Amino acid sequence: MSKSIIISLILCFSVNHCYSQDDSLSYYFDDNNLSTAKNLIKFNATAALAGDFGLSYERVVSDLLSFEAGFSMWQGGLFFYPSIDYPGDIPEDMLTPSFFFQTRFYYTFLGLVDAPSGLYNSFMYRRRQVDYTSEPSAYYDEVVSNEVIYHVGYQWLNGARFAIDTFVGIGVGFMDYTLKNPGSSNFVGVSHEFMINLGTKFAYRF
Amino acid sequence: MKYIILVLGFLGIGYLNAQGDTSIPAELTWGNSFKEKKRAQMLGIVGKTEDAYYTLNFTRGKYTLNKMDKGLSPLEKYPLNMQFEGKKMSFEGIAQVNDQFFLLSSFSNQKLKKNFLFVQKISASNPTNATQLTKVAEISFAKRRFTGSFGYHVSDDSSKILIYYAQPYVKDGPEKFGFSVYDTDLNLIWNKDISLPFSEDLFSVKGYRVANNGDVYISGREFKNKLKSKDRDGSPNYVYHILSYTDNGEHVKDYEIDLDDKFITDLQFALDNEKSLRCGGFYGENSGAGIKGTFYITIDLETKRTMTSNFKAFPEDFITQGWSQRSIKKAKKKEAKKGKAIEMYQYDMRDFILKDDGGIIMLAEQYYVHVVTTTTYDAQGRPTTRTTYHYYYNDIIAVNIDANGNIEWQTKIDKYQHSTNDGGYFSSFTTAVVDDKIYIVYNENARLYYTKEQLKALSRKEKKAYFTLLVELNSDGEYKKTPLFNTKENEVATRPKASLQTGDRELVLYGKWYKKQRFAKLSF
Repeated sequence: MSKSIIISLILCFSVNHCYSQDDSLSYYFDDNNLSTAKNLIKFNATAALAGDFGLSYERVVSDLLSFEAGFSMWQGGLFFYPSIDYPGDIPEDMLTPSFFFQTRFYYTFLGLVDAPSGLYNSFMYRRRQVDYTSEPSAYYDEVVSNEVIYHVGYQWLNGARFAIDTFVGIGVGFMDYTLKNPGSSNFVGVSHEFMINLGTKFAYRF
Repeated sequence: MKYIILVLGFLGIGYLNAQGDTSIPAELTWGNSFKEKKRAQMLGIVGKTEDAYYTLNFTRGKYTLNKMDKGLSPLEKYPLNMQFEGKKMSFEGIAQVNDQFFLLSSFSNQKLKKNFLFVQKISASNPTNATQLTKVAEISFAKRRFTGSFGYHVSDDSSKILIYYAQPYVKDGPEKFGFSVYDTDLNLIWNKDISLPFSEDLFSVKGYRVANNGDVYISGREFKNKLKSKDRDGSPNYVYHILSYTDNGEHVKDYEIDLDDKFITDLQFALDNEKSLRCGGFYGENSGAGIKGTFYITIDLETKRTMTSNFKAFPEDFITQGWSQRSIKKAKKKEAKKGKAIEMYQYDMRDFILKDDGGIIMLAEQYYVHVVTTTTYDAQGRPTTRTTYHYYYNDIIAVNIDANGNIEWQTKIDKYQHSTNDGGYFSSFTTAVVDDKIYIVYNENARLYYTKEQLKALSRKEKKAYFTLLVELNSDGEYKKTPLFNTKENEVATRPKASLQTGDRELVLYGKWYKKQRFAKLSF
């Protein structure tokens, strides 16, 4: 009986000892998961200056790779927006939606810097649709822009939860537009243009 | 499968005829050739046991200890644990101390604003057997950009481990660092945080070491005024310091190394039975990075008295050895007109070898990087800019200092290695000290190895060959170059930077050929 008590006590002691070891180590690594945060919510400040208000979400999937998807509403007629040059004027107060999907490849330097921090390059697909159906004076019924853009960027993480993402990219946009009064035929036009896309996003990571 | 090649037979008749005596005082043993992933990097040979060698490898963000048998054939790979509770740590180093590896890793905690250093002991006989992490140092930081840095040194008798930590940079703040001395069971013997009376901008730590008794020595360079310029009215604007922390840090001494009007370009030091400091290095007479001669000083640790002080200017023909007539003429003209001494440029001290007889051999290598940026225009006038990094690893100089501190001889081993955009991957050299001889191994083109007369007898293919050479430097400063093997014929090019002397009479060479890797052992 007394033997089993002693063994139990020894076991208790060793278990407690292990826990205290682990606990003390956990203290050094307890950083509110700042180092393991794999999610970022972003606001594109540069686009907002141009009247395009959007949010995006980036998810890190490995040390090298992340995906980002976003949605924005562009209030037409506010400012010139360098990456999209729609034919015709977009009336003020008209909100046009867009969404994008981006794959980011981060550079790691001997494993010291991982996604989502540091230098990256990315490929982005973006689609924007402008619906002029309710605008009788417009020349078009609908304009759809499909864009593919290659970016190079750098994402700074501060010691807390904030991040800044700056990027510059070049790409091509393919636009399908439908005339409001095509006459006898249901004419659908297609054009393309090259574009430069640059900006800064502010992000919160968690 | 392993096989042994007797070097003499292996080299073939061609080399014998070309270079006369090519007998090598060593036996070359090859390991098996094996393939690795394209991105796999062998960072260095880090240890050995009775029946195995260990290398440190890095592949896609993961570190592993790779085990080889004594025949240099790969066995297992042991991943190094660089995570705790899913948090990734940074690799700081690995060292073999007796029969254990000490793996150092750090974690920068952004919440606590502290950078922690951990040690994990790994059994050398069974690397799957590892202890839990032990925190051995910490650095507080204010900015994420400057989180400080760690270093370590193991005493010569492998009984003490020095953990050095540099505090983060603070503009105009004093130079701050700290260190902890541990025994091999990771029991803290003593530690100390230091704040030097020098501004961080004006002082840089150059080296640190722990003595067998646990005393710590730090070397560094102090600039005398705010302008971090080497020259002040023609004389040096800096002095070197060696700081000693003895008796568990209770006593501090500052040994100032000042060569008056001579510019110290490199300084190394060693301890002589914890009684004296032995300092050696190179000096220049101009404020640039050139070297004019060598010096050797011994200082009594107790009294701080300089016991020996020897300087030796290199003879002019030694300095200009291997230079073109045009370069010599130009240097002489500069000396006559501007009073600039003829010096050797861009030499880095690579080895500071303590000999059994009490003497020292210093080895230095000429190393520099030349960056060339070119802009070309296409038919439409659009510019394309290309930057090329040229890496040069040239001549080796060896300086011998006898046990009494006299600079006995110096010799220059002609070497020319040039590569682009690769960091000098296959360049530089590795050494082995065997008895009173130094063996040096490096790669060289056949055109440089053979004399002009010998080259005439060679075919175009033979002239294009690359050799891994073995240089034997004897105690009189004479040397003999001998090819070990032809890299193309053997499909292996030696990486001297990743090779290591692993025993009193053996040197393990690491070689690579595209995806193929291979080790070889030189037994002297």
